[in-house]
Amino acid sequence: MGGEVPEPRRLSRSLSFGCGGVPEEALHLVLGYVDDPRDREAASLVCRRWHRIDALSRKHVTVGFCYAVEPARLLARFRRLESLALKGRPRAAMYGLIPEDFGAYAAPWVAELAAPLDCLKALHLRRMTVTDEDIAVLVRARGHMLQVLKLDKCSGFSTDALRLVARSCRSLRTLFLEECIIADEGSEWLHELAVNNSVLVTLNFYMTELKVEPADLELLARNCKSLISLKMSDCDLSDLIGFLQTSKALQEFAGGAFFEVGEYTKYEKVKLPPRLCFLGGLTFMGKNEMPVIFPYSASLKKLDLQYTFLTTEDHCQLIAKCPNLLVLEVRNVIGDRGLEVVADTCKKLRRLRIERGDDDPGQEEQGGVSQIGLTAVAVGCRELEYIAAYVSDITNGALESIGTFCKNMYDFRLVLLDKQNKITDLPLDNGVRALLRSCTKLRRFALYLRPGGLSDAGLGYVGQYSGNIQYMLLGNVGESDNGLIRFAMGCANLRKLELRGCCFSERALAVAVLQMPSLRYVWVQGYRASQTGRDLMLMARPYWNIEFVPPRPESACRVMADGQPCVDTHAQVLAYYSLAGRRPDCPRWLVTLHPA
Amino acid sequence: MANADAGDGDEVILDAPGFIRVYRSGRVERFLPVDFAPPSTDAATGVSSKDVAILPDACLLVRIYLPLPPSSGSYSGKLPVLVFFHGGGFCLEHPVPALYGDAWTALQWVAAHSVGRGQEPWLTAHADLGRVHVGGESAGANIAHHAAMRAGREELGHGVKLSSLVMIHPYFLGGESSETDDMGVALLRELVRLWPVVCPGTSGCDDDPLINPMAEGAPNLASLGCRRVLVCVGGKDPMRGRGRLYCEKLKRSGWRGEVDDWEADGQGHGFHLSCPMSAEAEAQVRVIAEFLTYG
Repeated sequence: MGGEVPEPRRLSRSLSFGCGGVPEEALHLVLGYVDDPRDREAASLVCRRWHRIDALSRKHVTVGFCYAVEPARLLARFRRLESLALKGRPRAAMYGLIPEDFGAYAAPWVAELAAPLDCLKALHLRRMTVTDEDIAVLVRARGHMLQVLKLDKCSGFSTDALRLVARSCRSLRTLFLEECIIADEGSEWLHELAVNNSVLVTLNFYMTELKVEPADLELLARNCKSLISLKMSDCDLSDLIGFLQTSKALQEFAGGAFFEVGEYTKYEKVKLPPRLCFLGGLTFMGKNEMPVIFPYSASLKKLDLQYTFLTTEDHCQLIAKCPNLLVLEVRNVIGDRGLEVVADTCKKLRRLRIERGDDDPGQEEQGGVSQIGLTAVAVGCRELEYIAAYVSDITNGALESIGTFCKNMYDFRLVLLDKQNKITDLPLDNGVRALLRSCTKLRRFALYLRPGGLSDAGLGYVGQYSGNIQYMLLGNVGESDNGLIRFAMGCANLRKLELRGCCFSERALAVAVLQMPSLRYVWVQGYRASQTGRDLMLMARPYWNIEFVPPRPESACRVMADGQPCVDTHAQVLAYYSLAGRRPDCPRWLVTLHPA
Repeated sequence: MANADAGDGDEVILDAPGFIRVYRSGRVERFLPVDFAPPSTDAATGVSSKDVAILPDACLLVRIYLPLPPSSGSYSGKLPVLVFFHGGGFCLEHPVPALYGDAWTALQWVAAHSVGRGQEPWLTAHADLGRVHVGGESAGANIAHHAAMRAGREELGHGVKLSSLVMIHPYFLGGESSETDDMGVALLRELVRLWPVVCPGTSGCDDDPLINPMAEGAPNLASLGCRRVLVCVGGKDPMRGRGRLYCEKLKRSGWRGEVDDWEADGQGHGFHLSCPMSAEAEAQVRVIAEFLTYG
């Protein structure tokens, strides 16, 4: 090769990141490929220039808790956002533990951001209070640009707002309203959507109880050839024959119901779309109606049977026909025998949810899910990334099996139901340790047990082997304050912690919080609470908000032998990192604690 | 159990995650990493090995091991022969019972050397064919058992007889399982599902003598064609119950011979392969060596 070897000085100069180094455009382009929010965060700290380029090129931001930052501050930094996700009320709101007037209002965010964010086309709000007026403001400012609107478990708005969305947001591809509480003022919104939109891909108003007209769904199917996913409130499947026939492209469907159980002839004519691979809802489907889906079993990738009337035996029969499932959601009526069929059949399974059933007719004889079923699934379905299971019985061995075989586990949630008096193998210290040591990809971990389920030593293991886990929910774990401290000392990466039904003192909670360097959010319910929350102040530090729900007054006179307060199930602590300072919209029942 | 595997159109007939995937066409995908070890002379022990084709047309190879002579430079007399079948869950490309025929062919090949018909110099020079032992590990132990049963019905030829049978963690299934560990139960389920794939046409694990020689109606173990048997099991091996039952059945069958059994406390199936230098693995080797020496 001819030519001179370049001089070292020239070479090093051309690689320099200093002034006059890499062109702005190149850096902009490179950062565009950095997707992980934490990597982005780290890159933005390199220097002022990188900070500015990150801000300009950041397309998506998730605000993990809506009181952690002010809308104005977000706007000042990220002016070119295309996608924003906001989370509101604590997860415990799903179980009725957070009063409706807690807050988490969307109004300040919409008012501040809807107009100035010129590039915004996707908005995702979770567990927030959203009013018709909020949606109106959003639509007026961004209606023409909006492609994705996700209102996830939100409340406070009505179908009037949806009509406005349907009329004005003609570029909308995703409308997601799952599990929202929506005041139903009529089904015109769906008709408007069908008439005005021709690019819709995903429509989800699952679990909303909104009434719809089948004719409007057929119209939607005709006008939106792109519709791939429909998840809706319950509608008798026999009324949807026209819609299903028209929806050639449909791949995901949930919400068909069998309101006239026992009348199979009514459902014989139901023909599902040819490309269907996700099926859910199927409310009240029983043994007699199962044959409706047999012809499609082999192609199903996702199946949701949580609302069916299937017995354990029925589950076995149906799942044996579904070898390609990636996602399965069932109630614990599936039983251990059903899970053995899953283990034998569903070798590609990645996500498994076993929900608790209430007063199932088939439940009495089967006894629910235990270590036997969990072990079978661990051995047979080694691609699993997510398990959420309500179990009646459990052993250390079952957790060890999950650790041994499920190396891809990313999210593990276990609830031990309290209906069975005798549990085979408690405490679960060694099983938990084995699982956490082996499942090195774990990011979320939830363990809700009963007193005695996990000792202080076991709780210490949870901390010690927490690895890269960022979110934990722990219920009825540990024996004393020492266990909590040992747990906290091990949690280097934990960002979000929820604790329930624990025996810890306020002082221990405060000290534990200070031990966890990455913690940004902690919610505690059921602990040894004082009337004033005085020892919680030990966790006070800059940018840290502490909010406190006092115990019931009648708890005040009850003390334990050691003179400390009893565990009170009413008391709650919410503490979180916030650039915004104290909330301006605290309800009266919530006490904010701050240094004098 | 048919899987509609989208894409290549070849139907998946068995999917054992992390282990193998078998297609209708007979194609097998293996997922366990396996390194091929070439024949060599081991630096630590001086043991030499080489691969020999015993049926060149059928690509049937055996690997022969020869220990280092003592420092005097020559062996004092002939050496006993151990014909050992390695494990690995049976061969999927050549289903059961083909491998039993191959095993028998290998034994006959060894026996042929007693009258100079064999061509292998290591055997003609050093093998004492009055002391031929057969053994195996896991699926290989299963194969060794069936070879020994056949030796009770047929002549190997040339006056050669089997002295003993050594079974390490024998791979037998079927019958009532006494397994109480949930993981063990789940692993057994997986193995039961595998058997019809490696043995098409089987009547199932419970009454197929090939996988359950203790089954009702199976050939009587009394005809086992050797004088001594050693069975090693792992205390946590899900198949340990089958190994123990084999010993009991053999003793009660009327077979005139000696049965030894040995159990490695707390160890799983094939533990000596995953931790060959562990104390338990060395203990197992000592037990086998003493058993072979005595015979």
